Amino acid sequence: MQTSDTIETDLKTLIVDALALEDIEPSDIETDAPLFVEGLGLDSIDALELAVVLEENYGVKIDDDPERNQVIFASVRNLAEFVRQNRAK
Amino acid sequence: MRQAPVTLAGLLRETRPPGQIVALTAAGSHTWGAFTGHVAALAGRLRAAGRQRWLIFFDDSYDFAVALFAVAHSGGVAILPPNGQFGTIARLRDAADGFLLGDASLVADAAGEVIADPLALLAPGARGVELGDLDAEAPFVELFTSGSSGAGKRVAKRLRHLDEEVQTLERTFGGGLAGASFFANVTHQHIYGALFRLLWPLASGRPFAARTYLHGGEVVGRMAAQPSVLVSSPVQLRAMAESNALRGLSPRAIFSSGAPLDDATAAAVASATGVAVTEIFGSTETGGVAWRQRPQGGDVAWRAFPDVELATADDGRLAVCSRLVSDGDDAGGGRHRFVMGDRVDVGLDGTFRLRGRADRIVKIGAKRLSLPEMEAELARHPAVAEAALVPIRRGLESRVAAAVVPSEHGRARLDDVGRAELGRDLTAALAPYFDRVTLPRVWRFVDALPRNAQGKLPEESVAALFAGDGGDGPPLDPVVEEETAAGNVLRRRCVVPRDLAYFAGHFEFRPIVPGVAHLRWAVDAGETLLGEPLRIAAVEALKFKVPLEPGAAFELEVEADADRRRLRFRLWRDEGEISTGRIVLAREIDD
Repeated sequence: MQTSDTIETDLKTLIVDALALEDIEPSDIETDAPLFVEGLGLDSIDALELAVVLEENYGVKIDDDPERNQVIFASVRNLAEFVRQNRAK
Repeated sequence: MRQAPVTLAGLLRETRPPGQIVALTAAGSHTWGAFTGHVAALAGRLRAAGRQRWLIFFDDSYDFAVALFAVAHSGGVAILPPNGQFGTIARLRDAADGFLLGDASLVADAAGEVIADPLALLAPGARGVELGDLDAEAPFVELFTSGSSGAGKRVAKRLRHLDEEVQTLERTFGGGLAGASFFANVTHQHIYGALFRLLWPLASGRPFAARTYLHGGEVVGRMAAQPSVLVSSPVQLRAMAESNALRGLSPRAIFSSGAPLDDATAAAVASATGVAVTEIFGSTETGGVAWRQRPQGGDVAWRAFPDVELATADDGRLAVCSRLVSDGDDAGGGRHRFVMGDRVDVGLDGTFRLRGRADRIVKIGAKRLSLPEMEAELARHPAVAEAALVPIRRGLESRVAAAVVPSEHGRARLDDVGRAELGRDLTAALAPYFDRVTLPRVWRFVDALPRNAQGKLPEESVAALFAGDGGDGPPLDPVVEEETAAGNVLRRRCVVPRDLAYFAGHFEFRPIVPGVAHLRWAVDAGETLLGEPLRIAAVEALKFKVPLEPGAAFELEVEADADRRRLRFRLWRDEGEISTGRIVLAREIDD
């Protein structure tokens, strides 16, 4: 069985690979740090791409709900929580 | 002192002292007496050959000058290839019926007269033609602009265009240059070099160096020995400034043209030589437009040359109207009006500031971005000497990639904190001015930008710096440089990426774009034209006529028929069609 820690680790790898982030290792991403703008510096196009890979990898659907998405994408921890609750694969 | 008459049409009829030096060579010099003799002898030979269109390429500027005037005095037109590469000469050779070439092997199998040594005809007692006045309205040269793609555009000029240009230069810059010799590190095969390093000194009675000093440092020793003028380019000046080659040299003037001169180089050259670089702004089509000097760098406005009228076209581009313009709309009185690709702000006093190329607007996630604007903003950062941006395909969207030549300060930062940190610094510096999604996502720090021999920066060369790394693998689509749509026709000017994904699996020995890619690109253009995904029923009349190679420039056109049932597509370039076909669309049946 997959522990919650490995989902966090997997998500970090997924983010780095899917977004082709340069000069960033998965381990550089802090679990609780903001992903967008002031933290990792991701933007709206990245959010689109992340939504695609999350669906591919975990079968989770990101709806077009800005307020909810802001919470989901706030950090790796929130993202992992969302995946745990909604995953289909 | 004699006021030098400045004329090209009457040049060979002038009575100058036969011993006056025309050109400086490695061995010594060529005199006025030799020059008139060489031109007369060669013109006689050319007239006897009965040819009209002579392609001229020489490394040596004196040989070139003799050939150019001999062609004119024999009643012919000179065709000037932008470089002496085999492919360039091969493309232009059918436009010529005679060849004056330093390297005859370039046209070994060409039909037509080939003359490799234009000076050899001056045998004792040889009879040349009588050298009278030339007809100023006669076609004189055909030049080629070195655009960012393909074969370039042909621009024909009458003798008077160049004659008036030379008179303008003498009027604007001639004072203080008495007795100065001209040295150059740019070729005479282009308009800027032809005028500044050759026709102007020749017409005004000043010696010019026959050799082109492509490795800047070498020229300094020659220049130091005499009053001199340097005709150069940003690339060359940057190299000389960086190697401290100019220290202690005090030329009368330094000219630069062909690309923007960066602030740091402008300031470094001024401080090393005590001379502010005179930057020239112009184009093959317009001739000289404006000039400026900025010893401390900075965004100094450009001043138009006398009798050059400037205006802004609808889209902010610079419209130039003068007697020097040889292309565009006829404006009467020997004047033409030509709209350049550069956007400008024209001030009330007629000076202007460049605001980047009009055609380098890209869309990133539906946000418009002017690449030149962001490049200018980057160049203001202390860590940056120069920057070039290019959109590259990453995942779902194009992203901006940045190639940066770090300043000295930037190199120190790079050593201290590394690429990632410096990239983040630069991103943070841009963030206040640009939409978040347009900020560069990939940074490359390089020693020099990949400029071509003319100092231009082809987009595909910049893109090549980022080829093959990261992202979702190599690109599937061409680089679209320009897109125009009118009615039911959409047209794209494209370049084949050198790292196109299709090259991996197809035709390993000689990569060419496979047919499936032609189709994919046509469908993509069709979807843009019709504004919806295409459902394809069939493809008809598919023809692949010639192969399309990596790096090649081409045009793509799709045309929808009236009821939007069929799309005709066509890929072509100047030399002819590449592929054609018809896409039949499926009818909607779900309602």
